[in-house]
Amino acid sequence: MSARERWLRFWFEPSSPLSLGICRVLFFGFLLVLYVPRDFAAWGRVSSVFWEPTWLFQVLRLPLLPAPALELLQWVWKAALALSCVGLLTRLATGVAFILGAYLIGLPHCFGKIHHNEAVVVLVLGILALSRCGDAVSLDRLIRRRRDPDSRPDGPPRSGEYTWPVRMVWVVMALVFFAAGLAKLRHSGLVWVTSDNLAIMMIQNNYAKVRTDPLTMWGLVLARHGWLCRALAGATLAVELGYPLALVSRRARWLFVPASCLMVVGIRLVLGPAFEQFLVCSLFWVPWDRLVGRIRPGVASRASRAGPRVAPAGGDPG
Amino acid sequence: MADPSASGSSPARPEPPLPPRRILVVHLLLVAIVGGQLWSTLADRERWPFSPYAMYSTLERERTLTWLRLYGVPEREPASEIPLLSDDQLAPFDQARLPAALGHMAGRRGDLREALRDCLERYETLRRSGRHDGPPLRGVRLYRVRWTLDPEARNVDRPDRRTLVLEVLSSSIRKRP
Repeated sequence: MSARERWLRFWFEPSSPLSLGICRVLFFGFLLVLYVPRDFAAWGRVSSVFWEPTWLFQVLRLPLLPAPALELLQWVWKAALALSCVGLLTRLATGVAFILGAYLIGLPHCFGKIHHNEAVVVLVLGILALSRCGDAVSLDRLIRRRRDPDSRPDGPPRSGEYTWPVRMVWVVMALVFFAAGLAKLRHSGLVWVTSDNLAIMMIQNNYAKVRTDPLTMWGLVLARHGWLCRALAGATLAVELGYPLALVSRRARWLFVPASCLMVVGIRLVLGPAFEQFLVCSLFWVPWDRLVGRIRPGVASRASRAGPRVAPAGGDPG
Repeated sequence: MADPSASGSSPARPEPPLPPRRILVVHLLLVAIVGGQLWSTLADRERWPFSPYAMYSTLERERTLTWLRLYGVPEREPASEIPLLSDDQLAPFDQARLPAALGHMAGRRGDLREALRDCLERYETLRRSGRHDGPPLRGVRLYRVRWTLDPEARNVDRPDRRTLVLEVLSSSIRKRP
């Protein structure tokens, strides 16, 4: 198989709409839980002396809107998240969720510090806005079936339309983790691993520095064992730099994706910062159609009917 | 792990190929995402939503920590200053973003004064609306606080040194129209 064919197969191998539909429900459901309690309008009441627009806000000349306007925007956005989650008017809802989300999620980062957990959400919102993620597990699908009783009960045919968005999220995740590993090497080199650096960070974060305190005091316990901290630092760097291998190897996928999730949980426990957004994006790696197939064989076979069984994802050489 | 294409076995329906324009759109999106991320990573600069993800990448060598911390001056004397550590007291800021934002104003005294005035007003507004149960304040003070790290963090509430950066008292604030 030529490189071009392998490339096209990676992105556009026909697949059922089920996995993408389930990812849509979980992703937007998570965003609802995370962002509905958050009051973005409060930023409209902060003094403009704090305003330091990020690159996106500078390029698009996006202003800081007054609180009442932000109030309105955030309600529209949260409604769009809810509609996207249940899959009603999905194309419109995901588009609105992306455009307003880029502004509202980006707004706090224009006030002195960029937290690194939310940019990935905006990129995934953009990917889903351009996708056909509402073709399954959605009210849109139910409505279509009601309106057209002659439509196929097994849903839309397998298509590359349901493959590329999932793969694009994989690429985003790989870029994020790889960049984090590269930054450590660039700024500190291997001393980041071989020194007491991580032990010191674990203690520091029990004093200040973080927006969310560590969930446990385990960081202080770990910091007493220098060798353990160095081992954890080495594992962190290995997971971050090795993550892109998950794109091309199914074996690597089984190692790096769960390891990155454990790392995110570990960071929350001992260092404090919450990267739960990375966890929910990791759900795009789960083969939901096969999982559903094991639980409810009828549903999965209907959803995935048509099209020959194909080789493992991503042109896995292994 | 996921393989969106690996389920199903019945060759019942033809698979419509994606139109070339659609494939082009996907590739343009890919170029935008990968290009943006590479641009930010290679330049080592934040280009939100692209980022070099440099969090925790710099080396910590000293077992000390220096941090900016805001303290409230209660109205009732002789109460001592209280550190403002709850997000509810200074919402929507959190304890990582506010010190960073104030740190950026280090060379701009006027802006820093305005920022502290804003923090004081916001604290009082949030207190009056019941968002927190802190005492009424007559001012805020920004300190540069330094700790020598204790392996068990027993001195969290007792920094080695506090250096006053700026103070703003409500009596010195001119009422805004």
